[in-house]
Amino acid sequence: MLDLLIPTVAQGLLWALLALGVYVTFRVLDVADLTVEGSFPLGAATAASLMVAGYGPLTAIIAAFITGTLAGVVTGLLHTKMKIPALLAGILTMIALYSVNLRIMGKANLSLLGVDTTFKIAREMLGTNMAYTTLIVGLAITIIVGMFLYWFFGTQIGAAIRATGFNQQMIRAQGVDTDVTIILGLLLSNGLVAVSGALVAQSNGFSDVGMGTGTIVIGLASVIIGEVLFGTRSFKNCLISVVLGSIVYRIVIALVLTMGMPPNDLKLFTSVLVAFALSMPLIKAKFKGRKAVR
Amino acid sequence: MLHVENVSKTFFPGTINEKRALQNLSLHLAPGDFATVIGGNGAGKSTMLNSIAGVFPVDAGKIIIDGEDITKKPEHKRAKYIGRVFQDPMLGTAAGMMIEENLSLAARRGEVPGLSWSLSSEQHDRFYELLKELDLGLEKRMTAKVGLLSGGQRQALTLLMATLKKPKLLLLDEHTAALDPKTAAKVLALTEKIVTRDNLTTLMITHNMRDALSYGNRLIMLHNGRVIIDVQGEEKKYLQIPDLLEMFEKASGSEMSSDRLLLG
Repeated sequence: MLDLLIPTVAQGLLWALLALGVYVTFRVLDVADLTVEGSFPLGAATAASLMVAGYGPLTAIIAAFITGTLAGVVTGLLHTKMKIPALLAGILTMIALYSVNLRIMGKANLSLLGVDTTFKIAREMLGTNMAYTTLIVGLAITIIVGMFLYWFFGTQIGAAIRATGFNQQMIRAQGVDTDVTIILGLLLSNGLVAVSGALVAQSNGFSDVGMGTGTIVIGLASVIIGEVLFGTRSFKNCLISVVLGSIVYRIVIALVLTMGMPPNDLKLFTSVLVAFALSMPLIKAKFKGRKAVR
Repeated sequence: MLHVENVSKTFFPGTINEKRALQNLSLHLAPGDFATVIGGNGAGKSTMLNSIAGVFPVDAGKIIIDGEDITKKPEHKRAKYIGRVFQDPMLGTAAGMMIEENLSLAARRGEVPGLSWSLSSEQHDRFYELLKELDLGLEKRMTAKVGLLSGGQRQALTLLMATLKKPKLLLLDEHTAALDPKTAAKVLALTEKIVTRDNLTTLMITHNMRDALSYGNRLIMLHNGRVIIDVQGEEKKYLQIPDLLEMFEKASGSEMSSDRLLLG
């Protein structure tokens, strides 16, 4: 059981950065940002290409973060300056990134076989097996990122970004340029997502141009599962919930797979799960209403 | 303090819905003027306030605050000079943030946000005292989310936020219209208290003629996007509703038709 649980939790932690990124746009900024589907493989492509070219994993991850932020800025500019609806702006960047990612990698799939990835280096340093190494690295990175996010959204800029998500009119009346806060939020979100992509690619041992498909839904599933199971009392609570949500999502997926669900149906399963979770408030209200009538 | 010079604004120009909301409107407020603004629906009251606040660009004319021409400045850059309270209690605050967080955002109105922590303990004590003055018990709920407050509490908080950092101009857009009469009276009394205490230059739109007469030192009536009545000082003090109606008929050449304006 533990043999199955450890790698699953470890995967959950690597994907938690994606979930945190989606949380920043979907919950904090109140924007459904589909750029994620492109910035996740963008991070993977950037990191993999650099590592194949001989750069170290740290350089690769930082570069992935930077390219991710650029993708976020593009979506942000399309949305704020060109007045393209956020959903469409994200789709445009996502589609464009497919070509960009192919350009970066030079082909559709880049193997990291024989390359010193973060996890291989950490395994030698820690002297543990791969599953535990991934867990420890994932945990360390998630804690650092989580603490950074908690600090950042407590600062004046962070508070302005949060206020933008709640009420743009109000924060403009306080003298904040909402175009800037929206772009900043998208920048940060996609940077995190790209780092998640870079880590997942290293863990999988390859980067693939198609690995972004469905990531927005996975991110949403993690956010919603986390919120429902672990609460949303405070911002700190929300961050922890999202990380735990990502882990629970991986566990659920592992469980249904071991129970015999064909892997091809995974995305269908995830979509249904998210659709159900998103309609929960309405279902609950309906149920309550019917009870009251009786 | 405020100079609005020949400002015009037309919505949907060249279409069947064309609406000439402001037509060469001019208005000058001296420092400390507390002007109430009345006028029927579509007279241009909100358009005037939104033009000053920079919600949209004007077609012609100039807007000058304290000697500075702000006509071309975007909304967020004007916030440095202007405090605002909206008609909708939801609009003035961030519902998902704590009372304290909303206040700290307002305390830095017009400043570029930095990377220092948003909440500080000195601020906390100051906010506590200010909230206590509102006498709504909000000082005991500083970490509560604003979304939990009633409409009246939210408007009182928004008013506090708009004046927390003394604005050169306070814009109140029917800020009590969405409240029940008792709460509206409370918020109005609070408005007068703050405006008088800080000697704020204020424009207050109201649908209620009695309020327009009893508050402020100046009364402005808009009609078809222009100022048609502007009384102040002693004249305003002794003005009664019938006088106002007569003045309106004389100035506009038509009879007062809006029941809401009459009875509200």
